[in-house]
Amino acid sequence: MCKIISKYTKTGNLKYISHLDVLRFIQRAVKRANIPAKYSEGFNPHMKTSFGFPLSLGNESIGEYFDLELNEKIDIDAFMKKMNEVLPKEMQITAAGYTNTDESIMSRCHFVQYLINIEFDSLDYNILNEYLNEMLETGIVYERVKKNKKNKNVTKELNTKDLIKYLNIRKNDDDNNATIEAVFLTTETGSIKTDEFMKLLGNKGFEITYYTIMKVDSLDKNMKTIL
Amino acid sequence: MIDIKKLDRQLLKVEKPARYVGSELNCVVKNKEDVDIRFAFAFPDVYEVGMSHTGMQILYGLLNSIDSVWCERVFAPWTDMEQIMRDNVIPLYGIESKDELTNFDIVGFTLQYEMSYTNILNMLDLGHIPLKSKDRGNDMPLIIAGGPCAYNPEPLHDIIDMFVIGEAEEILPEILKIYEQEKSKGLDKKLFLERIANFDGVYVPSFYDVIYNENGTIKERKAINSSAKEVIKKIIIKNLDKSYYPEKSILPYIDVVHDRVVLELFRGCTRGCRFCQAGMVYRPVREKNVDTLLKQADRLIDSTGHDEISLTSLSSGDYSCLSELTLKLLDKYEEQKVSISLPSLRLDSMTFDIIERIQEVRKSGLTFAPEAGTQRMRDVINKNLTEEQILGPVSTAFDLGWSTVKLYFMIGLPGETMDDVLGIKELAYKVKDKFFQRPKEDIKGNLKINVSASCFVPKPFTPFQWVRQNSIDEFYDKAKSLQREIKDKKISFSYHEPKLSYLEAVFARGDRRLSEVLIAAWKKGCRFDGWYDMFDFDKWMEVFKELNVDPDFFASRERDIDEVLPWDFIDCGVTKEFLYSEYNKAMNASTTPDCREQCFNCGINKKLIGGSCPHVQNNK
Repeated sequence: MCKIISKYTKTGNLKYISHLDVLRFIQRAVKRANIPAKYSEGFNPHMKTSFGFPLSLGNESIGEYFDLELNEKIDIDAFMKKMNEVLPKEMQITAAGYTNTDESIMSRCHFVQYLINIEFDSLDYNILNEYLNEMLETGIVYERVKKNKKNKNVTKELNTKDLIKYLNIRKNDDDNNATIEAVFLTTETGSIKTDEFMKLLGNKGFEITYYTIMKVDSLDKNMKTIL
Repeated sequence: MIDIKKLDRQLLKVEKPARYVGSELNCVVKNKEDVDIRFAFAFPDVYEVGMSHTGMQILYGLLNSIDSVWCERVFAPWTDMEQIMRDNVIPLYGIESKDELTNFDIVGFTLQYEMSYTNILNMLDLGHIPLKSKDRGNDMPLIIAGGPCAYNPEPLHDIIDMFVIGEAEEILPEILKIYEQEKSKGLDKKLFLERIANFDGVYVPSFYDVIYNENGTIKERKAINSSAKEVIKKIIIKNLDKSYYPEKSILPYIDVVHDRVVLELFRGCTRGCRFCQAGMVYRPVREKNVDTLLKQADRLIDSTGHDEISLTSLSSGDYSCLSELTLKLLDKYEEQKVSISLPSLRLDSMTFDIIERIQEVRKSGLTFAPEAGTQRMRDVINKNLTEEQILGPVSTAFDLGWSTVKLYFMIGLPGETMDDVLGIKELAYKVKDKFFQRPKEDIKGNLKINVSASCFVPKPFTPFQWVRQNSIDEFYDKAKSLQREIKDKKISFSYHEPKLSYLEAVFARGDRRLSEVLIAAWKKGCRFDGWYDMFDFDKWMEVFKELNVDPDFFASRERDIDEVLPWDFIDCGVTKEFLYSEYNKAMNASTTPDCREQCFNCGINKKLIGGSCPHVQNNK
């Protein structure tokens, strides 16, 4: 089996593109780049690709991944060069390599590292720092409402302590502006979403005027980058 | 530029934010300091509809191929986005530069269907541009429009500064050249319009006045500017092989209505169906040759990575090299898993071996458009299709394994009786019989026949431009009779909303008095009228009443042959005499053959070509 894992970016206006749209877009890029992709058999052949956890709409990323199966082995540098020529500057492949693992990207991913840049109306650094420590140590309990299979709302209680591994504030030049480094648990069985985190800040009374979120990388169970 | 942070803060609140940000592959970003003309191509519907429109891709590519011009796109924001733009004072902007619409030199709307007119007003208003021509000074963009509905431009006469009648790609570069000259001198819109008013295909509504009779019909049109011509002749591209066709098309990130490479095989149609405006106004037939098309396909596939090529035209089965082209495309792209689709085939002309090859893997549904249920009715509309020519291909399709069939009909055609309406049911049942009247072992799959009926809307420049449309009640009566009569579980029946078709008919054959109606309806909140869930018929009826305009006058009135019609000043190449003779033949249910067999002097040959049409010669 010939399988390439690629790490790619999704920045700028591409943050508004949903996960499904990214799938189709990358498959088309593979076609434009003339990569000898493998297709499934059967009546409706489709390209053999697989992706990591969907990135939340509105978040940018420099640490997205996808697997692509090939019919024949090609040079990795040539692969990256060909792909990056047909991809826009907001989406570029930054690393790639052949992989032998059968484990999917999703099951390899355990944590996600983010940089969250926030502009506050007025920021009391100490209060924010205290609150972030509370999230990590005592834990903040919050509710997630989800629809079940019968389309009924079910509420689940979650605790930040179980889901957030690391938080650190970096004060920026502007007094009301801070960058939070965060590592969130992101597995098939449990995770916290960036908008939930932002909502907790809002509920606590922090007045946020603008924020941007950059996903830095997906990490495996040893907190190492996937590629 | 609009406040990007402000926009960014709001965009995640709307459905499909990617509609509003651009940055797609192959979109064009220029340095605004390097260009003389900023052009906004405005599509008065949502992004997904606009991005599926080939005409936009052609004009976008063409205009951006001119160094001094930067053409951007703008679409109608959906209602959620409109609310956000109004609440946060974000003006409508060009999707590439995010510059406000007021920063553009020219905003060009495409008029694809009448029910998009309120969106034009909404887009101007969201762009902080006054709705009426006369209220826009030289500091405001020039508002122009083109497309099929421009063949009756009068309902928009107060709003649009200039219309292009015919194929705009032929004339827009020339118009922009003159604009550039005038702009360098300090633009005076009126002077500019006077300079271009003598071009074929250019109509400046403010240069004319219309005087009405007491009964509401038109008494006369008067030119009130010395540059204004009496008759506006449509412009056409003479040679499609040499005309511009984009090598790249913009690849949207989100799913759009038509997500594939579109190859235009030819323009025009020789069939002469009497209900069809496109068949009359896009004459003469002009084909592209196979080499041109193969080259265009190649470039478009390379630049997009699409996995489907759609071969389009008004009647693709009539393309003289269809099987050669299809087979060549199949051979070339099979490896790359690119499929071919042929959306507009008349099944009488289709060759099943082509269909079979292009659908080798997927047996999706087949669509047939008999348009009318009885032979008499099909003769009235000059469909030139016998029952055998419908049922024959249907049987072949069943034998080849298809089991889902769509049948398209119209109700409310001129001279239609209840027997003709019920003929739709009869025909659908005959299709069903064809499926089951086969040896048991051959019957595979689950038969599904979808019958759909649309309400006939008489259009300008067709032989039916004089007829009265059925009333809403008549339409409901006919549709409901069919619904009652079609009881078979294998056959499902659906029909288009008569109220929508009624309003479409009002605007299709409307005159200048409808500009005020449009503005008032927009003020009441009418938007996206073509979207059934947004369409508010009662609001429209209130407006007609308040302004004392009778919509029946436009939709439900039989016109006299001598009446001056609002669009009479436009010369689409086909003569009024020809249309009238076709109308008379229709009333006698007598047919006119395909004009490849014989020329019937529709006028195109003499007026636009100067000789006889090439397709007639080729066949003799």
